[in-house]
Amino acid sequence: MNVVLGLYQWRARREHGWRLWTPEVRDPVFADGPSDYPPLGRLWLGMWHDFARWLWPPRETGALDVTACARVGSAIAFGITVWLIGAFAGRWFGPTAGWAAALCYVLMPRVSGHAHLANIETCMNLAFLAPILYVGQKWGATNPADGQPLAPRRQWLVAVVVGVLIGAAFLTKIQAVLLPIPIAAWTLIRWRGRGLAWLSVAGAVTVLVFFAGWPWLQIDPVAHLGEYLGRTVDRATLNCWYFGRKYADIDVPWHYPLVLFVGPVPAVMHIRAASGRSRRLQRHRRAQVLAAGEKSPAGPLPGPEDKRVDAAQSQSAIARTWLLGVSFVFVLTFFALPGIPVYDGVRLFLVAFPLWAMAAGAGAQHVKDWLAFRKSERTANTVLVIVLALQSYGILRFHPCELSYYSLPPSGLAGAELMGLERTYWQDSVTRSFLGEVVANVPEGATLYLAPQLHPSQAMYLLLQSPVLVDHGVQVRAYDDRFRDEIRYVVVFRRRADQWASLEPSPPGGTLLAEVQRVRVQLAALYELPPVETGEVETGESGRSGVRNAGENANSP
Amino acid sequence: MSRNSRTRLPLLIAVLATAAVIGTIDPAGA
Repeated sequence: MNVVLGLYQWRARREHGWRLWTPEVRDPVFADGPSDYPPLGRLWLGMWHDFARWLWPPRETGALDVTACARVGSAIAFGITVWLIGAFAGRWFGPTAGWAAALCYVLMPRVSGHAHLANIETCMNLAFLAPILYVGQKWGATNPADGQPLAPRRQWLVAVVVGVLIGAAFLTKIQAVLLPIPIAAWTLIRWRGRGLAWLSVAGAVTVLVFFAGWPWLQIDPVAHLGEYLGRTVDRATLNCWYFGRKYADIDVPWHYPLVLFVGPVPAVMHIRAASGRSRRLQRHRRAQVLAAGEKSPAGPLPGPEDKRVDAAQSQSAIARTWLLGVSFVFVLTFFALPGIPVYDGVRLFLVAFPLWAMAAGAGAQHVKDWLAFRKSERTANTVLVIVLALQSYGILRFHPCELSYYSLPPSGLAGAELMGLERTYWQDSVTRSFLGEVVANVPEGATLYLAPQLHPSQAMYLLLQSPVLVDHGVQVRAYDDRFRDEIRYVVVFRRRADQWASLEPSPPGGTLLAEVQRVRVQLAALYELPPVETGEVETGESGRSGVRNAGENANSP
Repeated sequence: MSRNSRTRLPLLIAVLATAAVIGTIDPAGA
């Protein structure tokens, strides 16, 4: 859905250019929305879709879009985010923090998993992080002369750029509403009245950019803004599987974001991020920096000026750490509030992950300095490289099913499964190699039934996006217990929240023909079902809760 | 480590990571 709508908007912009902002062109093109998501993330996917489709022509099946081509857009957004994380962590916390933070982000399996899919989340991570980094860089500096906050040059231009960046985030996804409060709180505490003036300018520019960048809003600003925000709070209820129970998205226990954040992030990164907050290690870092000149035979003794610069850098780093920390805590706290819907694992609060990678980078810097001080530079670097290399296990072991990765706290995916956590939230476990096994196990022209179907056109999409299925002449339909007597082959992906009870843990009498497993936990499977005796079929609800509406499933990756 | 290498190394990691992701995109449906 994201790709199709992104293509529509991208091609409309190419076709009409600036005229798209004139009522004569704008109104008919955007009369029907889309109103569920703002345009920027989809536009990005649409643009890269066309580029990748031109550069690497795929096997065509007659579909308007090729999802795999749009995935290149996510990969590019991911790469830019990695660079920003590394560059700013390096500037703020030290060179080791730079490369370590970048690598930590790359090696977070859930993040990497999303980067492989054509979703808005990876774009949103970039859009969410950019204004925080820019604010930290420009408004987080300290004057070495007096140790006070140092105002940026061209301060009003900086405020305008902050507004543009936050506006771009608002144009990407609704999570942008989580940006203004932590940024404003941090800025006001640091800059007081001056910060208020900057924030006023930034706020006005944000509103301007948001409306200017979304033609559909301009058609009827008040009504359409109400419709957009209304869709966010008044929409179909989605299901969430958590500790062995199915919850409606607004009834999920408050600790869900905390557990789902701690679980899927490699444990070493948590330790490293926590160590970045250690005062003892921070003192070590300062002592080590100051001692560096004294210890080196060639190096000069640090003069008062050096000490002032170092103190200013240290204060800036602390201020910027506060900005990252406040933003991070605000995101997770928001999703822990009663009545705030959460579902799909980490997807909604994925924006917290880049902030945590920055913290992990800062921690790596402190650990490295401490080790270098106690042992040697070489030992410190060797230890860090080994630890980071070990963290690649998650991606190497789980690819392309990184959305199912769990770390040590829940004892990996197997432990998470035993605890009743969700195994996969989307259809990513229906991999290409699995589809190859499917066609090897079903006769030509067979009909496959997909379970669960989360979106009315999901089965059709699976077929159109899979040349291997089209070549085999198979049909794909949604599984439904009511048609059990017609069903022989069923493709199941293990999303418990919306699963048919008749297929969990496996269909009675069914023969397993192919499956996707990670650490001996089944993530997707092909079953051949036995013929149904007359009168055996149960109809109606079978422990399944229904299908998402078309708008919500806009995340189809 | 110079200021340049502070940004060059993350840039190198970013380029390699992007290439790795593009190279490992699973072309399966949906």
